[in-house]
Order: sequence, then structure tokens, then C-alpha cells
Amino acid sequence: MTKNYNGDLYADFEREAVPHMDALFNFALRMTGDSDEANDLVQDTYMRAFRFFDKFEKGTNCKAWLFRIMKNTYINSYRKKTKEPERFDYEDVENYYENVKPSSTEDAHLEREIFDNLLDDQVASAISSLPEDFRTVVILADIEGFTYEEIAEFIDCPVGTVRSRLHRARKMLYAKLYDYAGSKGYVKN
Amino acid sequence: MMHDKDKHEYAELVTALVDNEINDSQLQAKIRTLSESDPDLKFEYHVQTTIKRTVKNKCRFAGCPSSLKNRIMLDLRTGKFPEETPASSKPVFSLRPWAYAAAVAVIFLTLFIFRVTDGEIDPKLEVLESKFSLDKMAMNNFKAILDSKLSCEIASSDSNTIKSFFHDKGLRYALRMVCPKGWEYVGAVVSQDNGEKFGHVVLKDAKGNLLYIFEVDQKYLTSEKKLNLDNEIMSTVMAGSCYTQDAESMGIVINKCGSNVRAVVSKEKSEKLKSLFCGLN
Repeated sequence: MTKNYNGDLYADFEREAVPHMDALFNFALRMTGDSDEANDLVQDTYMRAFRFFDKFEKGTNCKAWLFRIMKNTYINSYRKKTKEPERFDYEDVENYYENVKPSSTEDAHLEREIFDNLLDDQVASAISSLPEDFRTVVILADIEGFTYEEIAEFIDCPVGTVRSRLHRARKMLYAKLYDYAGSKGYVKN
Repeated sequence: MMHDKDKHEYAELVTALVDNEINDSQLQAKIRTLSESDPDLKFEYHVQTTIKRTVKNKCRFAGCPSSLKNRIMLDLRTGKFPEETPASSKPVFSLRPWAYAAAVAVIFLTLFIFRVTDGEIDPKLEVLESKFSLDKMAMNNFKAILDSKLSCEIASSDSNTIKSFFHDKGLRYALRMVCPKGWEYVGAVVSQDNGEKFGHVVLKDAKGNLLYIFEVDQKYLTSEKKLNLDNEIMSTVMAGSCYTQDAESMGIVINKCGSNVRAVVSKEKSEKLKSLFCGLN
């Protein structure tokens, strides 16, 4: 499909949308877990964004608008191809959680050191294994550094839901990473 | 004594405290006190801070690769848009378009020419060594651009930016950088053959039609013989005339410009290209 080139539209798009490409790629990479898929997702997102750029309201949050397009593109075209994460039973996480509480401040410090010694891939893998809604908020909050309000706008839900999902997501990650540490013998399982 | 419901709500507020997302200073102070005094909330605080810190430290921000940025910019500038096809229904050869394009680009940059047939590289390429025909290379490269198998390393409409790009890439000769009226620069790429670097430029018109320019120092065709050019074409060019040819729905014009020889290829008829480029030196 060819679209007639419009210099002004392109200039506006370049100014508003192109600076967010790094953040979108980072998000795409974490969501798909595959650099080829991330490339495709970012390209599709930008092509769609440009196609509908005349509908973008100038002065509003372009980054949030791009993230919404990416999220919809991901849901429509990419999610089915990505391996489904393993099921997380949150009740299990809560029970598990009760058994691993460090008994003292000293234990808590030691535990932090243990988590510091985990490999980047192990942490990335634990994030990938989270259910999509929870993975999304962890990526946006802890890797991309967005505020709750920004995340709420990106994923189109109330701020309270963002807080709740992030709270649970971190607990799930804690359980998962504690398991990893146990499998390496860093902590007693 | 705290009810479970309260505790659950406070636990979530501990998360908000860790993220500095509690605006009410009184509530913030209350949650901070609880997170220090209540064993369960203290543990919540420990978990939330530990995981936030671990994720931040272990998951570095991955910036968008420059090749992807340039690719997107080029597609936007040229008005090329992929069809609205779900990724899962794309044909097999395009499931990994970037891997495919990257492979072709590497071959282009190292062997300097490619012949792509249904996604396969012509094995005869290996015996051609480094002496290639300028006109055939130009046409092959243009076809690869149209098929999205070759993309620019830099996307820019500014001639000075492209000149700087060539300079930074270590080109030993200067391109004339001519741009006929009604056309503008889209981007450029540098290829390499036996340690010699060559500059390639892509232009487009207002309708998004593309035009490819492959320009080399004439010594690569004459004294150094790094590239081939048919004797008849060479005679025409060295005599100061324009060589024109139409083949495979493409037009090509080759002429001398200063101390360089320039091949221009597009979907236009060669006579049209002649009128555009043969007076431009």
C-alpha cells in the first residue's frame, strides 16, 4: 500500500512519535521475548501510528497513544505466536510466601545479596513467565520507569488496578526468583 | 488489631510507598510506620523493594537498534506500508523479514553484489570474485531496494548529512550528490569490497517513486579495475555521452560526472532519466 507523501504530516510525526522508539522497542522486546518479533512489532506499530496520525490529538500524550497502538497490535497479531506463560496460582504464591519470610534484618540483607547474584537471564525469564497483565505493569514500572498514572493511561485501566497488579506481580516474581536461588543452592528450599 | 481486609489494602499501599506514589503525606507517614512496625507489612516492604531493585538492575534498557530506526524512517519517508496482514498469516519467507534483510545486507556489504532468486543467493556469485559489472550491480541493487531486501543505513533528506555519513564511513572519493528538481534524498548506504568502500544513494519523488544512484570514482573502472563496465558502455561514458538502457521494467543511465562514473536506476524510462541526470555534473 502506498500513501501519498505529506511533508508536514511526516515532520509532525517525526517530531512527536519517533523519539519514543527506544521505549517502545524495549517494551516490545520484553513482551515478545524475541528480537525479531520485537522488530516486527515496533515496525507495525509505527506504520499503523503514521496511518492514523491525523486522528492523534496534538498536545495529548503521544507516548501513551503509541503504547496503546502497540498493545492492540500485540494482542491482535503477536500474542498468539508467543508461548503462553506458565499458569500462576496466586493462592500458591501467598502460601509459599508465608514460608519464606526472612526471620531477621540480617536474613533480609543476605537475601538481597542473593537476589543480586541472580543472572540477568534468570530475572528476564521470571518476568516472561508472568501472566501478561502482570508482566506489562512490571515492565512499564520497573524497567521503563513510568508512573502509575502513565501506566494506567497506557493500559487503559484505573490507577488502583495498576498498583494492585504491580503488588501481586512483584510477589510472584519474588516466589519465582526465590525458587531459582534455591535451585542454585543459594537459599534453603 | 488489623483486619485482613485492611491488611490487604495496607499491603498494596506499601507497594505505592515503595514507588513513591502516595501523595497524601499523612497516609504516607502512616504506611511508613506500619511497614516498620508490623512484621507482615515489613516483609511486604522487603519483597517490594528487593524485586523493584533486582528488576531495575538486571533488566537493562534495550534501545531500538539503529538499523530498525533507519528502516522505519525510510519506510515512512518513502510512503511504503506493509499490508494489514496478521503476522501469523504472512508467507513463510517473510516470517523473519529482519533476519532475511540483515542476511542480504551482509552479503551486499561483503560481496558487493547480490542476485536474489526466491530468497536464495545465486551460488555462481562465489566465482565472480570482486570484478562486477557496474550496470548489472546497479540494477540488482535497485531491485533489492524495491523488494525491501536492502535498506539504507542512514535515512535523511539532507545532502550534508549524507555527505557526513559517507565521510564518517571512510569513503575515499566524494560523491557529486546531485538531486534533480522534484526529487529528494531518502537515505544512503556504504558497501565494501576488498577493503574499498562505495557510496549508494536513494532518492524519491513526490509520488514516492524511488531512484537509486551508484556512483564510483572512475579509477575503479579504469586503472584499478575493481569494477567492470562493458567496453562499449565505457567508451560512450568516457566520451562524455550518456549510456541508456531499458530492461526488466527499469531504466538505467550511466554517465561521467566530474571524476566519477554514475549509474542511475529507476522504474522510469531511461530517456526520462537521461533528461534528469545527463546535464547534471
